This record gives sequence, C-alpha cells and structure tokens, in this order.
Amino acid sequence: MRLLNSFIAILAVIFSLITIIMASLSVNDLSAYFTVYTLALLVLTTLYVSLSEKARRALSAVGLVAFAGFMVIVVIEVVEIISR
Amino acid sequence: MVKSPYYKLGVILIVSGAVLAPVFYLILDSVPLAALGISMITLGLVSAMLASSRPPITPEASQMMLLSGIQNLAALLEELGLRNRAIYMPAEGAGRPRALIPLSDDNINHIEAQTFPERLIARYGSNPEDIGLLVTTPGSISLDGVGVEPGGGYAQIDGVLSQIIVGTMDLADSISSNLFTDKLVVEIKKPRFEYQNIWFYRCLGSPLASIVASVASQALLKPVRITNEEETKKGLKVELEIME
Repeated sequence: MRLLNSFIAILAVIFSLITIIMASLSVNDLSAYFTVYTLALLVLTTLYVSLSEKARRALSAVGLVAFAGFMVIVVIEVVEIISR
Repeated sequence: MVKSPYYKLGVILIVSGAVLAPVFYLILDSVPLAALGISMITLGLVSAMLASSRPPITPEASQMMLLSGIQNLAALLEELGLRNRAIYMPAEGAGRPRALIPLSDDNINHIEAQTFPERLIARYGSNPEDIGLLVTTPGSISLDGVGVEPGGGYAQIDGVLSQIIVGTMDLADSISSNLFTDKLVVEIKKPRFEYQNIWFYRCLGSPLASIVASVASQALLKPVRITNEEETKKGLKVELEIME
C-alpha cells in the first residue's frame, strides 16, 4: 500500500512541477503538456521496479491510453504540416 | 473494488479534471490550468486502475489467517519437541518449495533424498534417524504467481524479494543481499513484522526470513537454512547457510 501511495504522491508532485515549469516558460500548447505528462508517467512506471505484476499491468493500461493520446496528437500535427 | 480508497480517489480526480479542464480552457482561456485538469484525469486513471491491483481481502483478514496457521504449526512443533532449524528445500517440478524440519541435527549436512513425498513425515537419508517433517511455510506460499526461475542464480534474488516483500506484500521498505561462498546475507529495511524469540521463529524463521529462504532456495536450487536472524538499526538481517 505504501509503495502505491508513494507512486501516486510522486506522480502528483511531478505533474505539478511540470505544469509550473512549463507555465513559467510560457508554453501555451496543451498537447506539449500532455506529451510531457505521458513521458513522466512512463518513466516513473519504469523506475518503480518493485511494483507487483497486477499493479504493473494496471499502469501499463494507463500508459497505453496516454500513449494513444500522444499518437493522436502526433497524427494531428503531421496532418497540419502536410496540409500547409 | 468500488470501496477501495484508490478507486474513490480516482473517480473524484477524473470527474474534477473532466469538469475543470474545459472550464479553464474555454472560459478562463488558460492553457496551464487546463493542463492541470488533464493531469488530474491522468492521475485519476492511475489511481482507479491501481485499485484493481489490491487484494480483495483486508490485511486484517490476511493477518488472522497467517497467525492461525503459524500457531497451529507452532503447537505441532512444540508437541513433538522439535528444536532443529528447518532446511528450506527447492520445489520439485510444479510443486511448492517446502521446509524440512529434521528430528535429529546429526547428519543433516548431507541430504540424500532427491525427491520427497507429498507427506508430512519424510525420510531424507539412509539412517533410521534421518526423518523430518516437511511443512509448507509462509515463504512457500509467497512464491505463487511470482516468476522465480529455478536455478536462475543469485542475480534474480534481489529483484524477486523486492517484488514479493516490498511490491506485493508491502512488508518492508527495501531489500539488499550479499552472496558469500556458502552464505547469503539479506538486509530488510524497515520491516513491518517484528522478530519474536518464539519456538516457531527459532525453528522456521520469521515470516520474512521464511520468504527470503524460500526464494533463495528456489533461485539457487539448493537447500538453505536460516542460521541467524537479528534486528539491526536499519531493520532485519537474515543470514542463510547454503547447503549442498
């Protein structure tokens, strides 16, 4: 339970820090925020090696959803570039 | 799953994020705040999904079952007057690893039997006194569903122990081990179980030491014996003798 608590707490802190840093850099693109959140989630999941198989599977599912969102962003950007 | 606090937290975060993100983006025209809403949804998804990884029974129920099992086994050991330290044997085939408690400490360094019957009382040598009790320990059960490659070697011990003790059971903060020629020393930081100087622990080791011994025996594919278990400033130090 403590491991999962620390995972959620650290993820919340990382998301907040990302938002603060990117806002202070005047980043005004929502897809950029989402991309960095996805990367942070995937990296943190990889770093937590002690997670049980069940927890890892659950996080992989979320990572997959986030990655799908990231791919949608990439496709939209590519379409925009091509249509110019 | 519905009653899990992780699930409740997840639902609250997802709903709040889904409401706040469009409000911040469309009405307040603030991208950073809208991004914060998206991060709430992501965090909510993580929390809700992690709820499914928690066991369906409460820790209190698990503790009750563990204690009743330990007390029954302790009563049996006391009744039989067994004081010898158990030898953790690697699993045979698809079975579970078990612990052999010899009736006599003589000739225990040489276990002749290659396989053991699925019985409580087993013979491990050719001498008449080479008899012991074969019991399933908390460590034996802990290996269910964990990928320990039999004979996979020392390299996998730390990872498997962390997965079981820290990740799945949440019984300690971290694990580290050192292998010597015929000895394995494992340090468990901030264990949630206290070592007790009782008959059962002296014979089979504490539940944590039992898990360590079962994993080591399975990974090294050799019988192991808990030679020492002591509380340190950092936590619990378990020393195992690796037998041939």
